[in-house]
Order: sequence, then structure tokens, then C-alpha cells
Amino acid sequence: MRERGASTVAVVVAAAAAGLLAAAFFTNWMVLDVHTTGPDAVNLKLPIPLPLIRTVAAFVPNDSLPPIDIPPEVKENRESILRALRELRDAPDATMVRVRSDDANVVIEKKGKSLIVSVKAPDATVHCQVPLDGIVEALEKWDWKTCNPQLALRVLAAAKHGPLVTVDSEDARVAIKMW
Amino acid sequence: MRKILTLSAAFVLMAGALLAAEPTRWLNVHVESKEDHANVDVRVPMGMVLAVLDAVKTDELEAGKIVLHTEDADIDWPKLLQAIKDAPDAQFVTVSSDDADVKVRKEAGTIFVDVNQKTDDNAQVQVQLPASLIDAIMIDQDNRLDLKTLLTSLSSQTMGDLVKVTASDANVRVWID
Repeated sequence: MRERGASTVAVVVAAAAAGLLAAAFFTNWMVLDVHTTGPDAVNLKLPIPLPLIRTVAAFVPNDSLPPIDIPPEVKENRESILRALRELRDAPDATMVRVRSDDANVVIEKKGKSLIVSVKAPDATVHCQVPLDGIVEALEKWDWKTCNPQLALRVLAAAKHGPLVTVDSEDARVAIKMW
Repeated sequence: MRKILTLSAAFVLMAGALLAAEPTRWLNVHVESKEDHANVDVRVPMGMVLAVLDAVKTDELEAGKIVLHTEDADIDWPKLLQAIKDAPDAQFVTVSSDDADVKVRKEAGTIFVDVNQKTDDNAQVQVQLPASLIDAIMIDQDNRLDLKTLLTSLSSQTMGDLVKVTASDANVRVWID
């Protein structure tokens, strides 16, 4: 006669493992990838689950968060700033800025809900993705007084999967990807 | 048959809504800097420009109003603008000085302002505005032009070149599409 207890335990363990795998699969991960050359070369690849950072940040007491010195004229124009960002977020896709010079080429494009910034200079290239949805949502919820790490995490969570920031120079390569 | 009619009606309503939606108007700026060998192209939605205008505060620009340094001229702006609006095509103003030649003319429903600078970088500035936009040109008693009202009207009415500047160190073109 089959031992029902044993098969039940196996099913529970399998379900728990499947649940953890699914959670890991659907969780936002930020992958930090750093490579430098030279005598103190660094090679680092660090995957960071955003929910873990959010959980840790949630335990930080609000009154321990440092105040931010925002210029009064910026606070006064909070609504105008938010309105401008919403217009940008809702505008059709377009190349918004293109600079071509002997020193560098800069392109700022609007694609979907992101602003893509690319800078190519003789000694470095920089590429970053700015999630406008996340920025607008974070700024709407922010009190414009204190440093709030949860808002930065909200912006990161809104970023599209793929490269967030990539910096390539002669002696270093830094990449932050959302996965 | 009823299904086809319902689907057709829904399609017509959607198409109507899409056609009725206002297209985005864009403010474009092209700058060629001859000194730096640099080209800059900026294209931003007019809605964003108008939102940012509220937030800009400088000596010359505040709350969407820009200072026109015409204090010495004692101009009755409403009267002048109405006269330009009502007048037929003609050259209204020609001013020649040691610094610059300025011509203001109206042609085919458009007002042209041409400035030829004789000093510094010898810039040539051409500004053109539809004459119908004169009602949107509001200058208060402190000689401040309501740029926000003007740009709002521009974005709903006109497309095409607004400003062209040709100078020894740079060329600039501003237009709306």
C-alpha cells in the first residue's frame, strides 16, 4: 500500500520549488557588470533582485532619511515640471536631440515610454535608458523634501528589460541591465 | 447582417475618433555653429515647450512673458498691431541705423520682419508670422510679450518657418510642424 504521507510531502516540496523558481523568473533583477583594466582590474557581475532591495529599504525608518535641499524655484514649479514630463512621456516616438560635433555625437530619442540617451565621444561611449513612466510616477509620489530610496526603486522597476546604463571607455566597461 | 452593421458602426466611430484626435505639433530648432563645427537639432512637442515655459525664470523671461527692450520707443502696441492687421500688403517699417537695418512688411497674409545687423557678427534675422496671429501678440504696459499665448496660437494655427538667423558664427532655423 502506497505511503500517502511521502507522496504528499514530495508534492508540497515540488510546488514550493516551482513557486520559488516562478517568483525568481518573474521578479525584476538588476545585473551590475563591471570590468576594468590595469593593475587593480575589477571583474564583477552582480545580479540583484529588486524586491529584496525594496524589502530592505522598507525597514529604513522615514525619520532617518536625510532631507534634500531642493531649490525653492524648483519646488514652486513642481506642477510645470510634472506637466512637461507627462507631455514628453505621452508624445509620439521621435529623435528629440541630435548633436554632432568634433568632440562628441549625442542622440536623445523617445521610444515608447523611455528616453534613450546615447553619447559617443573619442574616449568613451555612454548609453542609457530613462523610464519616463517610472520617473513621472516617482515624482508624483515624492514629497520633494526627503531622500526616498523607494522612489528610485520604483523608477528602476519601470525600466524596460535590457540595458539600462552602459559606459564603455578605454579602461573600463560598466553595464547595468534590467532582467 | 446585424453583426456586420454593428461592426461597421463601431469601425466608423473608431475611425472618426482617431481622425478627430489632434496630431502632435513639434517645435524644431536647427543650429549650425561655424566656430565649433557643430550641428544641433532639437525637436520637442509644443505641449512640453508650453509646460516648460511656465517654469523658466530669467532676467528676460518669467511666467511665459519675455521682455522686449523697447522702452525708449514709446510704442502703442495695440494700435500698431491693429493697423498692421487691417492694412493691405505693404512695407510698413524701414529703419536704418549704424547698428542695423530693420524692415517690417506684410505679404500674402504673412508678416515678415527682416533685420540686417551691421555690427558684431553681421547677423541677418528673418521672422515670419501669419497676419491672423496678430490677435495673439499681447504686449503689456511693461513691454513684455506673452510668449505662451503666442506659442499656443502658433501651435494650433501654423506650420512652417518662424525664425531664420544667418550670422558669421552660426545659422539658426526655428520652425513648427
